[in-house]
Amino acid sequence: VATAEERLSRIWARPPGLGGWLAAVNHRAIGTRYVVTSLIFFLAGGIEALAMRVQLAQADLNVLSAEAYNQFFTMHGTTMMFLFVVPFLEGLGIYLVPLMIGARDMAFPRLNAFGYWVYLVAGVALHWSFIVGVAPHSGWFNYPPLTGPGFSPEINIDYWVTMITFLEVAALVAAVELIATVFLQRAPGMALHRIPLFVWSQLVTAFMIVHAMPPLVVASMMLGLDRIMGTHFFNAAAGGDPLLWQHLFWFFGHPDVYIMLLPALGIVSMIIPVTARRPIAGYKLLVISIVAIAFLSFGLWVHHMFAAGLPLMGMNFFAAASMMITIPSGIQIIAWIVTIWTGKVRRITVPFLFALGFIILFILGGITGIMVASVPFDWQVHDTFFVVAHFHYVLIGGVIFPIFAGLYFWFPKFSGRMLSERWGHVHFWLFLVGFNVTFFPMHILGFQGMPRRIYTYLPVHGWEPLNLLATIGAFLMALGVLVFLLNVYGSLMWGRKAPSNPWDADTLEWATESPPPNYNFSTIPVVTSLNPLWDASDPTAGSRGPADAWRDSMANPDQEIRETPASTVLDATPDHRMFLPFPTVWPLWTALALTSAFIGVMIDPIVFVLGGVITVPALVAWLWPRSTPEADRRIERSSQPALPAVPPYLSSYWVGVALLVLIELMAMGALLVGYFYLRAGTDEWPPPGIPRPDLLVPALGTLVLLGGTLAMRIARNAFNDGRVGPFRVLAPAAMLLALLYLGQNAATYAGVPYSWDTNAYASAVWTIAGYQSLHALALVAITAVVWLLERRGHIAGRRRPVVEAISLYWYFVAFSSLLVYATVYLSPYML
Amino acid sequence: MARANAGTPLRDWLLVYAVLGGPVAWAVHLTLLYPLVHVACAWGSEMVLHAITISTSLVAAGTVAVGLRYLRHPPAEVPEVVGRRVRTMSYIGMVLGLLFLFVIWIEAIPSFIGDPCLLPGQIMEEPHIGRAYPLETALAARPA
Repeated sequence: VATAEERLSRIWARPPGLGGWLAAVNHRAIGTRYVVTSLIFFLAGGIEALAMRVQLAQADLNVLSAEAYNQFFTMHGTTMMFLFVVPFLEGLGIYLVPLMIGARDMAFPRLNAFGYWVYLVAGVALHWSFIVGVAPHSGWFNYPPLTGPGFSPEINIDYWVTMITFLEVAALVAAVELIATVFLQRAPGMALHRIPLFVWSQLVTAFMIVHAMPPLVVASMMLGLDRIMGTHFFNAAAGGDPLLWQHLFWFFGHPDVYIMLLPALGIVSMIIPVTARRPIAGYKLLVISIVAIAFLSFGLWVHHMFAAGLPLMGMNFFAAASMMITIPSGIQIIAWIVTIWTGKVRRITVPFLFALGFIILFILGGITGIMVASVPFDWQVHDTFFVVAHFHYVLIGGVIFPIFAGLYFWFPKFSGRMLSERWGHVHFWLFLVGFNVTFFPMHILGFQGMPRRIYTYLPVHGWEPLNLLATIGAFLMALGVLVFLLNVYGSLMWGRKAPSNPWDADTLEWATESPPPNYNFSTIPVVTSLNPLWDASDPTAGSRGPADAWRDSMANPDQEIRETPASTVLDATPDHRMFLPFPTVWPLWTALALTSAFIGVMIDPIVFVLGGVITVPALVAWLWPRSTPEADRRIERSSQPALPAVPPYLSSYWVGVALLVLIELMAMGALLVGYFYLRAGTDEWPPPGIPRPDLLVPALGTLVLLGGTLAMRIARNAFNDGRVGPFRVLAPAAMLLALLYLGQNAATYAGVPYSWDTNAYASAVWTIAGYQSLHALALVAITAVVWLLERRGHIAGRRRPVVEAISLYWYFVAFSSLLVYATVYLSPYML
Repeated sequence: MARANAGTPLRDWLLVYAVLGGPVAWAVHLTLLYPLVHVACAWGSEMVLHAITISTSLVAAGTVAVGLRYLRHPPAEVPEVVGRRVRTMSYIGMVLGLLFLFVIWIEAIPSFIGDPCLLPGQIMEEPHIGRAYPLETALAARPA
């Protein structure tokens, strides 16, 4: 007779062999893959940096040609920002967050796997362009007009535009996953005031990604359309504006710095209290500072554009906000110092050492940050090596040091082995000294006027000694990384076995084995404080009464199902069971189908459409339930004490769709901001030769879609009341009305006397209309699939909230149709 | 006194407002202030900017009031875990409200002392407060 643990292990195991490896959906497998893959990209980015440092070590060197140097610095920035830091930290979150909150897996395991495959394919494709010599070469920020079709007609920029857009899909997927998991799956008792700071930082960061990435996706889509379809968003000669790119890019780009920084701060906030043997000082203030940094980071983007000729008053608003972010950052530093000061540090461990290094370097990077937040100072050092020094102090000091701290801290949990402390110290000192030798001289080089992104310089400038010093420092850093890699290899081979909780830490991930079993926890833990493992009671002990007898049932399942408890958002009161899916290869096939679309767009736009078309069946195959409705009902009726199967309050379906709506709102917002930005740059709108839009027919089309939404609302209400008849009739009627709306859109644009490539106005209205049409098309497709599933009896029991969730998407599309009408049709008459 | 003992009724939406109201008010402040610099320049008056500052300040101040209210008169007869969570949310709301109220006013300083029509390279020649700007200056201030 199998024990409970053996049964759980069998249920949560992934299938054997390569097929099983490709089908894995478990959060630890996906998290590990993210971490390992991103570290490989880190090595690639580091080699790119070393090549640049060799080229700059002396004046007039020819190690790299000018073109190769451009490709190297572009790929270095792109790799480190998009392929290493963000995916690494998301991967760490994917691995650790479920363990820290006492869950067995994440809310959407298959989506998780899909995100990883997208990330992998996009990263490999970007580096493939490097291998074949056509890597992007205009900087990681890709400013037009340099990157427009006029100045960069080659395929290099196409790689950046398509693969970065694709890559953002992965980042958004992971963010959705993290938010839904933290919202719905916290262990009983883990109310808002008991969430570990790492989880807070991951949650807030995920929200930042959801708000920051869509504008980048829109911007890169606009640039792609300019390059491939001949639109004019950034072509000043046709009414476009290159500054629009800068606004959209930096609206993503500046928060992106904090998207990298906040999880790093979360890592440090986990390590310091463990080393200091006391709870973190100022927990609530730290949460406040995480939230404040997240918001403020969205109000700083213009400080990257201080030299772009914007009105002074506008720049001053952003200078003020840039300086204000020092307040929450300072709170964090003070909290850590107080924790160390008032704690009992018995041993300087390697994670603690890296955390200390981080505090010092982060302060230094912050100080130069305040300097460049001042408009006049920024004008003096803009585009010099001073800025390179500043952001490397922030990004290496503020992010890479905590990343290493986190790797040393959680390596025992990942691998079941301890890393060598001695070699860890060697790694730290080599990296710390190497870092400062590399980047401190760059402050001085910046003051001496050495510009960024130059591939060589003349001896007469006198920049050689400091450049040589920086290059020596870079090799010291590389040596440090090599020591780390050898340490990892040696520890995996011969390292000391790690106990469950080698650091005597306080959070739930240390309550399970190292490495954890497939199901994380056999008995779902109960949390009664912020430091559950430092409490007198064992959080993973069995039930304490009938109210939580379901925990015993979940630890000893009588059915072959993957289940984990779901709880309320604010107080983490368990209110239903979540049924998680088994492994499948369909996320991989869907990612590959989508890849063909994104890579195909570089060949011909029609290939993009074909790729999109083959993605649909892959998606349907992924989502289509394999079990019969009768088997589903049987599973939901547990013979043991169990939580309800149907969510009484908030379902994962609804949370997922709500986050999708948020992402789409941000994307639509970015498009509409683009429209109004272009409109503000001219006196005549629409431009001469283009008539003002017809008001009547689009108004009728919008009313038809609103009618469809009303029909869907009635259908939803009836369905929620237990009457499926109205749903079966009204949902197709609503789809028909949405199709009519699509038809109206198509007819309107078939009849206009201009095309998307006529001028910037035409590009904007065609793109907005096209984007809105895609929404309507998606609406019809989603509703059709749900309608079919309902007809076959699958939308019942635990899947009933699906109808509520798709209704939310209907509301969004209706709302965006009103926005589009007000912007494209009404505003030319009013503004 | 009796009212204080009864505690403030538990309304989670009010606590969510307390936590997010201040940051959102600041976000609205900056989002509106920045594009309206051109309008202030064209109209020759910064009143539109000041109106936004005052209205968003009221929203942020409201979060401080709500946070303070819940801290001083927490809901009665709720489980301990809920009581502690409410206390945490009200504290966070109050401090965030104060912080973002401060940021709103720091950001508003340029609109009190600066010239909305000034571009880089130009120098403010005289105190401008109350001075009207010609439309030509406004058009020149638009992005190229």
